[in-house]
Amino acid sequence: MSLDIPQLIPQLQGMAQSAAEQAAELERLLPKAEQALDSCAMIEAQELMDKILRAGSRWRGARPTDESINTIFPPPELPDSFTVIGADGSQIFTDRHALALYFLINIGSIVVAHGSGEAPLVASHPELFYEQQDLYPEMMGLISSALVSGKRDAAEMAELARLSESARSQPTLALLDNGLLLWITTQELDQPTAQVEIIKSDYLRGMQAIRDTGAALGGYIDRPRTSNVLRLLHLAELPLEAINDETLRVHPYQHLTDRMLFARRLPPGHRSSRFELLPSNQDFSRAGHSIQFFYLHTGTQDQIARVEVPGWVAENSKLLDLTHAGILEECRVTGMPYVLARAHELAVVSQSDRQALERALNTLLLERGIRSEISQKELAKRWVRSGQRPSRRSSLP
Amino acid sequence: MSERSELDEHLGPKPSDLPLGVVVGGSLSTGLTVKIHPAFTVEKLAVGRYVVIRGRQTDRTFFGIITDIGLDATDADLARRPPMPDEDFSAEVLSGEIAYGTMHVSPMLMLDEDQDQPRPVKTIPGHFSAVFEASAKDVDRVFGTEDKTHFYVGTPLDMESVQVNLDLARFIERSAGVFGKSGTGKSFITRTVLAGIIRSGLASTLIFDMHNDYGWSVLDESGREYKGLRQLFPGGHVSVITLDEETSRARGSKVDGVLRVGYEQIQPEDVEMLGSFMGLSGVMIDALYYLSYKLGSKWISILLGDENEETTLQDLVDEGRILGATLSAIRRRFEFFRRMGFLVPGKGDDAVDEIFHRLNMGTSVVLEFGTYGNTMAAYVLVANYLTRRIHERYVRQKNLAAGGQGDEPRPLVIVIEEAHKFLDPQIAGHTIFGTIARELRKYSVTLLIVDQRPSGIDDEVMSQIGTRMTCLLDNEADIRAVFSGVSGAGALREVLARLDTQQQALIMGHAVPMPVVVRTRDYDTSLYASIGLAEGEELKKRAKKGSKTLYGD
Amino acid sequence: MSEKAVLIARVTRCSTRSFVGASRLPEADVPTFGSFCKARAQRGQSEVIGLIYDIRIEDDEMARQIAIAADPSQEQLADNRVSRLIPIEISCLAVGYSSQDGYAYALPPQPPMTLDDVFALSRDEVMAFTQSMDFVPLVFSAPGLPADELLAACLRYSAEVRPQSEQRAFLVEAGRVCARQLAGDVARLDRLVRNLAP
Repeated sequence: MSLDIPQLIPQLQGMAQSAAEQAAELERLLPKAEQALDSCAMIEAQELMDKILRAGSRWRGARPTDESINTIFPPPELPDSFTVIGADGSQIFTDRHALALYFLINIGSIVVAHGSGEAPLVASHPELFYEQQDLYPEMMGLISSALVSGKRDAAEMAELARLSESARSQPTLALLDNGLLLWITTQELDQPTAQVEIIKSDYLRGMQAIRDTGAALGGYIDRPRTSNVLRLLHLAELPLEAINDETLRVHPYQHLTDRMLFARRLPPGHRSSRFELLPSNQDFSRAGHSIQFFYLHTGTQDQIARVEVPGWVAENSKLLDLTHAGILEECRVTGMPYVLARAHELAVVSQSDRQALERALNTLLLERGIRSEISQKELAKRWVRSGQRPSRRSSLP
Repeated sequence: MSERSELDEHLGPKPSDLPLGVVVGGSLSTGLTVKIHPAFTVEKLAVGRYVVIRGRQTDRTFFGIITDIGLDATDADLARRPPMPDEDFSAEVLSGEIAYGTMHVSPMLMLDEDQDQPRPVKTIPGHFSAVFEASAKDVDRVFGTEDKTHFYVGTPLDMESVQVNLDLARFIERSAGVFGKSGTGKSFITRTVLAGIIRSGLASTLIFDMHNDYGWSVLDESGREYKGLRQLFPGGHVSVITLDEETSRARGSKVDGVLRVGYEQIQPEDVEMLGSFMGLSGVMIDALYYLSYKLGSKWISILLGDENEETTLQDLVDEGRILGATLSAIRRRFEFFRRMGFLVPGKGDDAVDEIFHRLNMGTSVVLEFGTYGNTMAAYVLVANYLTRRIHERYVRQKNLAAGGQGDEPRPLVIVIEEAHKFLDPQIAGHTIFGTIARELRKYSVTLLIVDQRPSGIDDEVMSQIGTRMTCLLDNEADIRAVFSGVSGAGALREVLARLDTQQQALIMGHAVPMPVVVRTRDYDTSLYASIGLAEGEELKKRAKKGSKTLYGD
Repeated sequence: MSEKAVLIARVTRCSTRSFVGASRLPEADVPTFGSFCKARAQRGQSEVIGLIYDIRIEDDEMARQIAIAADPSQEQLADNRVSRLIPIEISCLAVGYSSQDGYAYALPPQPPMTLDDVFALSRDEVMAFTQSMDFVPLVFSAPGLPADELLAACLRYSAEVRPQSEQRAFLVEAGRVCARQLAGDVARLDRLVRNLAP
């Protein structure tokens, strides 16, 4: 052990002290935020809309929907039988030090037919990318991790679409272990646009396919750290003319999260009202997939999750109820949706998997007369070093 | 692995390449302990069988005989928690490995790689030497092949193809014995061996045939008829002389002579042997010597009152030389002689010379007792009477030969039955038979004693017996007696006690390289044929020799 | 007759005496106590033959959560029983190794390397390896193992791969080999032999 803990003790003490002070401050702030929520609900809709408009296209808050923002919704009834589908992906990024240049995307999925009593269908689809056009898209150098992740996200959606297709016969909920808004499209991009466009259109095609089957689609975000609603509350408290970038950036609730707020408001199983995610993505909106979200008490120990749904689910009470109730049922035992935990398990590429893959590759290369430049020893060192998981998400319940 | 059990099936007569076991301990004097290989079961072994032990460090091969078979376990605890009868599997696993068979092997001979003839053991094989069941070839090598002086007497147990051949030259060199309780086939073995001796021409035999078993045909219990020696050797090699002409004739025996012993030929020494049969006390025996000395050659006739010499006797009493009561007692007891038809007043025939002459010419003599065989005293008297005188002549002849004044006498084997009557410890010291047994072949005379109670025979005499052929004995004392003076005998006891009641015998001693349990040769036409063949050849040879002499070649 | 080698684990730690492998396997593929496996060693020049003496189902958070849940759904139970890969750790005792000359019944010259594949031995291989019982002493001499139960399981399994007609003879022979080893401890031997009985 190289870390000198005793030497750190004074600093740790300071850290603990500071955390305690912050917690006390938050405790003090939370009731105020709650009050703000109720006050905000009293504001004339048009007035609020004006303020939102004034906040501009870069304001990352929440826009109220037809539901009053401080309303809470009890768990709806579940159909006797329904299907929940989960998909998740993981990847191996390209590595200039590896035996060869490649990246890998592995999609795990599971289909649970609730009420059937049967074992779920599980699948794991790995795909290896190694051709020049995959590795060097648009002649702009080696493919970035962001693009690989984007490809993975699109593949996850495609897998959900594929599985939804097979479940037309009964109520079906397709769940993604992520927000629905394609992450890569939210970045300030220096990415090759054409590639992002391809990914986005694949992704949207997947969403549309799910919509066409009649299934509900939800993005599940465990322990969300977002504060879109709190931003709205702050905005609502500002006089219209005082709204500018400066006033919006510094707000009294900035150390709170929506999760903390709704943990005080939502009884187990209840959801908040829906909000629309801002800034809205033009491509998603145009395709009819503008994203809404709500917070949900999943039933165990003040667990507040954020659930994102496309507009066509949000505005279809049957699909919305299925999403609400379906996620609750999924979380009942495992704390987070069972299908997502399992999909992750099926997708994850472990260190030993990766080493086995490279060893197999090494053998095949040797068979073709290509001697890898990396010694077995160096490989082993690298494996020991890279303690972190290859998957971006590592949250098992 | 599955062949193992099949091997088990084969085990038995068929020797296998697998060792029966390995030597794990023992000594030269007490024999070897052998742990039996798990693949073999003790149930298929038998005491008396031969084993071959291949020395582990040398090329030496040892021959031994299984003398005991036992069970042992590596752990004494096993006896306390044995597999139950229904636990077949456990029993099968444990037996052979943890619970195993042992056998005791007496090493007998050893054979070096470069040698032909096995020699008696001087050492033992090393630890863990492999022990094999002896193959026919192995055993054959030990017992040699049949030839003029080696006579086939039987086959080792479970080895019908192997002949055990008695070395007749060695057999006659020292006294020999055939033992066994009655009904075990002593006389068959004896007759077989005698046939062999006679055929070989190595010695003449004088057979005191108590029960008329040897001369002419005999019937066994089932009424089967077996040829006597006189029939086997029709060419004159065997003479039958009878004491009881009437009975011999009635049986249809061909008789070559009748023995008559004159009273005057009988000496007190001859009578002394009969002491116990006639109830003669020591005092009376002393008196006999005195009477014979005083009365001369006619002393028996006088005592029987045939000579009108009552006054002479009365004088002796009056002179106080002898007590009247003693004399009367002697005279009463001497009435016995009158009942013996072969005893005649007067000088009698010159029988002794006649018999000696025949024997010395190579003719064996069977002395048939006829009905007198039932009278022990008659048997003892005649055997004693003849043997003493013939032995005397052999001594004389031998001495002459030593002085260069005559030929060596032809070796003689005297066969006596119920030998313990002659050789019991009380009298063996001073009877002619004891003398012969003790002096070995000094005068070319040896005994072949046939007896069912070897324990009654004087130890010293017993220890001089060179070759012992023993059928089943069950009396502990008899068994002990048979083994007296035999090294490593203890181990063989078990073998002896477990012989079949018929046609099995343990042969050990001088004439065989190692002790052997044999199934004795059948006394049947094949034996007759082999004797007859020899007889024929002998005749031809003799004819040829005669013609050579004739033409001065 | 050649069966596809079943990968059951990858080596995570090892010594010349034993090695431990880990993997996630569907329940049906989880190897059994007392079965044989092999792992590559000496850069492929030999294979270490292992006897599986311990199988540990590793801690699995999800399974545990389902286990303690008041009312898990039938589908989840079924999933965990049928589809989910069970995280296992198998411990193997080295009982021999194969080289070009066939099998050697001794500790291997080198252990397998970390992450080498561990395969189950096929029935044919089990039959070939157990042609000799010379590995039995290695099992008895290994410290801290349930040697008797291990051998009983292993030998019974080795008998089962043989034709029916040879099974009993095999077990008897095997029992005798064990008996030789346990000659001084009849109570223990007795138990072992009972466990072996067909």
